[in-house]
Amino acid sequence: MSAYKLTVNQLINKVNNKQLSPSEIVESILGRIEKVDGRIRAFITLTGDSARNQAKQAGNQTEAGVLKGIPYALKDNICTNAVRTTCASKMLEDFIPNYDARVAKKLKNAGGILIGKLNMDELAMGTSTELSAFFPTYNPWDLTRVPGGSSGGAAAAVAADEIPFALATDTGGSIRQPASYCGVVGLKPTYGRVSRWGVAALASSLDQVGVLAKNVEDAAIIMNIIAGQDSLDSTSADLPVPDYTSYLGTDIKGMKIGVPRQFFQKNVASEVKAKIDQALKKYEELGAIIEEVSLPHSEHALAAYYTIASAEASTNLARLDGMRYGINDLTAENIEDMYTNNRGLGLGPEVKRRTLFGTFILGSCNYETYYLQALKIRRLIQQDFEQVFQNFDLIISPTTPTTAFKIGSQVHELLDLYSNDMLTVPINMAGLPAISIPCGFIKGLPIGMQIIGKPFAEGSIIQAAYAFEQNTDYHTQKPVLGVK
Amino acid sequence: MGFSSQKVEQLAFFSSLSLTEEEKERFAQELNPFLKCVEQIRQVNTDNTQPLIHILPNHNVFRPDEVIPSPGQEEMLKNAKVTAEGYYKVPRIM
Repeated sequence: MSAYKLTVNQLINKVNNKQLSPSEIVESILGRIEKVDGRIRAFITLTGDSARNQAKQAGNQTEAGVLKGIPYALKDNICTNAVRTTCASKMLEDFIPNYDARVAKKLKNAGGILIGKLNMDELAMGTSTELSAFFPTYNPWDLTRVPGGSSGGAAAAVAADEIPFALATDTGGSIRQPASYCGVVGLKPTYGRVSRWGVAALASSLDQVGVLAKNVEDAAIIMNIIAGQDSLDSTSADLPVPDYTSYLGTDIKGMKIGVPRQFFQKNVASEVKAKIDQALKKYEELGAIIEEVSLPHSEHALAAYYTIASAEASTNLARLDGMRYGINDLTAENIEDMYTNNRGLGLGPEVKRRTLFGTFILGSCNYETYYLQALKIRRLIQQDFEQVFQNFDLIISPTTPTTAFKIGSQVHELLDLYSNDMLTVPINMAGLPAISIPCGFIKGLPIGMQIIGKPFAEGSIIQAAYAFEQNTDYHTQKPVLGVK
Repeated sequence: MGFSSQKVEQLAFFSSLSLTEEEKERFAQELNPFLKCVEQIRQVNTDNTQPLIHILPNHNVFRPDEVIPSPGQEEMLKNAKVTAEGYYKVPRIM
């Protein structure tokens, strides 16, 4: 089998057994990208030359890390030393960081080989990757549809076998929603589980780095590498990191799974509900106990989320002024004009919209009415989850209300576009870990199931997700791209 | 409360954002339904509820005060469009 088709675990074994060399793997991946990325458009930047050099060096090393010779790619909001990091924004089109984000460094130190940087909605604001300032990414299952977003490039690249795994960020669903649309595994760890140092902030109290992979086992392997406290990220948690692979294959008999009725309301397509029901039956067969639960405040999560996220984004993005990096209009006569012109030129419509809205929210007249109120609702949402988790190990819901939508169909309907996140946003509001795994197909398009865990219980999520995966074959199905 | 293009202009001023007339009109139109959707949060009873600013109960995080290498001045200036004598260069401030 061609190397590009393999999973991370299979590649690790092939390298260890000397059946494949790092150079063979890298060539296979680059060949695949050359063949299919013209249609998928997952990559903003490719680092083929340095990848080839690194592979050559890795081939000569006898000792190396867990990921020796394994290619990976990063969402383009994760800083990479000497490699352009654009956040898919005109503002940062030629920004070249002089340091690696902590997670990028960890993969590098483990022997992984960076293949390139992946497309996204500009500055991670969006749910379709159509809002990239450069070009949209196309869903490998149907090239007329979106891959989801904001990590659409990452999910599409993994689904199309362009890369064995990728790291991305999830602020309101940006890993899980594209994972659902592209039929891959997307894990968002607990807030604080993985360092955010060197990752371009969208909403600092909600952002988290996670993994997109071909299966649950690979997600566990990568979590082992990226999780843990970082002295450079004061919000990273000082808690021991378990071996996530030890949860693979453990029995789920007696596990209590709550199913929140608010996540199955009228906006969720009946075909999607049916797929989740089927999956829950599978869990029952495997010995889990399924019961309906209630998360009453989750219906306000989306409105409260966009209030908080816009407010945080508007302050975070004040740094994009074009002076130290980014677009700079050299004709400005005074410094205020320079700032306003640069931001006007460099930022796209969605970023401007949210900046304006965030500024509105944080205005002295509105701060209490909206921002403080949203933070209180966030407390209520978190308390709802806490209450359920007193009696349950996990919560299961659909990841998205529908399968992937057509390109261009929602781009002018903001509220529709935002509502794609309605089942994922509550989890970020409560800071919880969650995974999306493929649980079926509707008219040839994949759909994901979301498994939500207690804070820092990524292990239980991995355990349950793996059990499902071992008893189904959705994750092994591949889109037909018309090339071999 | 609704958004007019004057309101958008005012917010743009506070956000240091230059907008075209067309953008001001467009954002005013787009933000109104969005605000209407967000308005629902005002109906939620949050009496006796404390705001949740941050998920983790973290307090101060300390690390050893060690000198670690950092990129030099030249390296840090590389991404700037204009520099002069080792500084970022900007238009007149005063």
